[in-house]
Amino acid sequence: MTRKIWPKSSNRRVARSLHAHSILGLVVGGLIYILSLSGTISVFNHDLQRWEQPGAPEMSQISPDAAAQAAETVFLSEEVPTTHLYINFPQPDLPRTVITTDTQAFFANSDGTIDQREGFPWTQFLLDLHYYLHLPHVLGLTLVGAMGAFLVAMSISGLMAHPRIFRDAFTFRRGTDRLSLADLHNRLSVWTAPFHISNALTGSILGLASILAFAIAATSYGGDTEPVFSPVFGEEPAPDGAAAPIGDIAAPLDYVETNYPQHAPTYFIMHDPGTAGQNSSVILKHDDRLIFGEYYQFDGAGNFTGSVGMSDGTVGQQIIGSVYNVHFGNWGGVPVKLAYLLFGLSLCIITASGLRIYFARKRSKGEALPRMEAVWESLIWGTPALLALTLLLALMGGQTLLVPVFWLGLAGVLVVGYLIGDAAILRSSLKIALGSIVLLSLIAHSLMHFDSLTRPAAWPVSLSLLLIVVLVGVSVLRHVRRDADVLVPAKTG
Amino acid sequence: MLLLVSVGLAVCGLLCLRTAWRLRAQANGWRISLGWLALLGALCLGYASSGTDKGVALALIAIMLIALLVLGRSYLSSEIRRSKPANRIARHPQTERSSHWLSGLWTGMVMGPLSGLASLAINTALYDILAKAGADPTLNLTLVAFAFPLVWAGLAILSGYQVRLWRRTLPVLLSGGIPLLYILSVTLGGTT
Repeated sequence: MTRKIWPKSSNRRVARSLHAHSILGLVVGGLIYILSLSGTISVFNHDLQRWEQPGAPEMSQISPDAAAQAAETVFLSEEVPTTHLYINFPQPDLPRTVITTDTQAFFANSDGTIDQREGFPWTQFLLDLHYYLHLPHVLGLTLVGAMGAFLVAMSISGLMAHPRIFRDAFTFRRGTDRLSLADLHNRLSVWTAPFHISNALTGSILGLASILAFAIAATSYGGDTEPVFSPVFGEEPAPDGAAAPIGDIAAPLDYVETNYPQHAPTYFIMHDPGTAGQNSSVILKHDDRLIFGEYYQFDGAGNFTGSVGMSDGTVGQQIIGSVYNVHFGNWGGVPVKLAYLLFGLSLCIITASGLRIYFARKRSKGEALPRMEAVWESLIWGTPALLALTLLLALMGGQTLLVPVFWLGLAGVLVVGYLIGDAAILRSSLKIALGSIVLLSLIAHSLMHFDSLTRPAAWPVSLSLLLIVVLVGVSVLRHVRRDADVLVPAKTG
Repeated sequence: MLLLVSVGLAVCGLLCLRTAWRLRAQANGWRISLGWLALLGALCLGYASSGTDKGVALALIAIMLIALLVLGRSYLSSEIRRSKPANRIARHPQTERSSHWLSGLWTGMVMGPLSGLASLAINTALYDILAKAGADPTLNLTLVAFAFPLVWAGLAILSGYQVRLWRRTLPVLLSGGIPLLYILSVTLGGTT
C-alpha cells in the first residue's frame, strides 16, 4: 500500500479556522472589497491625472533654473505665506512639472513660466476613497489600516482553513457551481498570497502609523510625535519665523544634478519659505531600490547638509522607506503596474467570491439568504458602477457632488438590492449600468478634449475604458446566454 | 539576462510542483524538493540581477504571474461541470434570522476595536521597553509598525477561532490589559 505524503489535517483546526475566516469576511468583506477595487484603480493614479487634464504641458525633464523660476513665481503670488513650497518633477508616468503650495497647484512650462491650475477631481476623489474612505483623515486612515489588519487575518485564517493547500494548488474545476467558485477563491488566494498579504500589511502600516505614533508619543515622549518619526525621516531644523528673502531653489537642484546624475529628482520641498529658518530637501529616486527615494537636505542658502539615510541608513529606515512603494506598485514601471492590476483584480475576485461561497453554502443547506445575496451582488457591481458615475459627474463639472453621490448612491443600490432580492437581475442590471456610464464618460471626455485625443496623456486611459465597456458587454451577453440555456430545459421539462 | 534565467527557473519550479502535486504519491518527494529549490533559485537570481529588495520582489511577481498562467491553463483544460438546477437548492429560502445579533455584535467588537486596542497597547509597551533597553530607534519603530497589524490580525483570528463568547474575549482582554497596566504605570509615574 502506498503511504500518502500528505499529512491528514485536523478537522477541528480546519473548521475553526473557516469559522474565523467566515466571521471576518461577513463583518468587513464589503469595505475590503471597496478598498481593493479603489486601490487597484489607484495604481494608475498618475495616468488618470494625465487623462483628466490631457492638455497640460508635458516634458521629460526641466532645468534647475526653470523649475526655480516657476516655484518663485507661484510663491510670490501667494496671498497668505505658504509653510511648504513643492516642486513635483516630471516622471516617466507623469511627465509634468507642478508647483504646489499649501493652497494651490500650477503646472509649469519647460521655460519656467506658469501654465494652468492643476486639478484632477476624480483621481483625488478616488485616492481619498482609498486612503480615508472620505472620513476625517486620522479616523479614515485608522479605519483603512484596520481593514488591512483584517485582510491579513483573513489571508492567514483562509490558509489555515485550507485542508489540502498543496495537493490542490493547481486544481481548478470549470463550471458555475459552488466547487468551481471555491476553486477560484482558493487558487487565486494561494497563488497571489505574497501580493495580498504584503499589500494588506503595508497598507495597514501606512494607515495605522498615526495612532501608533500618538500612543508611542504619549507613553515615551510626553506627547511629542516628532521624536517618533525623526530617526527615520530626519529632523526638521528649528523654525525661525523672521521674514527673509526666499532661499535659493536652483542651487540644491544644481547640486544634485552635478553630484548624483544617476538619480532623477522627484520632489523639491522648501520648508517655511520666506523665513529665516527656511531649509529644503530634494528627493531623488533610486531606480534599483524599492524605497520611494532619498532625502538630500540643504540649508536656506542652498548648501548641502547631508542625506537622511533612506537608501543607505539603518535597516529600519530602508524597510520603512519601502513600505509606500510596495503598497502602490510604483517601483517597476508599466510591467509592475500591470502585474499589480492583475493581482488587485484577483483580490477583488477573491473577496467577491468569498461571500458568494458563503451564500451558496447556505443555499445548499436549505438556509438561503436571497436578499443578503442580492445586497452583496449590489455592492460588487454597484461600487464600480458608482465610481463610473462619479467619473462622469467629475467630467461634467460636479466635483462637489462626488462624495455624496458615491456613498448615498451605494446605500441606495444596497437598499434596492435588498428589496428586489434577486442577485442575477441585479448583477446584469448593474453591469449594464457600469458599461453604459463608462461609455458615456468616454464620449464626454472625447468631446471635451477632442484636440488631445491622440496625446499619450489621453489615449491609454481612453483605450482602457473602451476595453472595460467591451468586457462588461461580453460578460452581460454571456450571462444572458447562460440564463437562456438554464431556462430552456427547465421549461421543456 | 539573470532575470530571464530567474523566470526560466520559476517556470521549471512551478511545472515540477504541478506534476508532483498531481501524482500525489510519496515517490514524488524529489520532484517537490526540486520544484521548491528552483523557485528559491529564481528568487536568488532575482536578488543577484536587480538588487536586494527590488530583485527579489520582481522574481516574486514573476512566480505569481507564471503560477496564474499555469492555473489558467488548468482551468481551460478541465471539463465544464454542469451546475445543479438552481430551483432544487433555492426552493426553501428561510427568513433571515437575527436572533444572535447581540452575540455577533460583541464578536465584532472583540475582533475589531478590542483586538486593535490590545495590539496597540502591546506594541506601545514593547516600543517603550526596547527604547529603554537602548534599541536602535529606527529598528524599534519598524518592528512595532509591522507588529501592530500582525498582532491585531493574530488576536482577531484567535478570538474568531473560539466558539464560546468568553473564550473569544478573555485572551484579547488579557493580552491588552497587561501592557496597558505597564503603559499606565509609565505615564502616571511620569518617567520618560
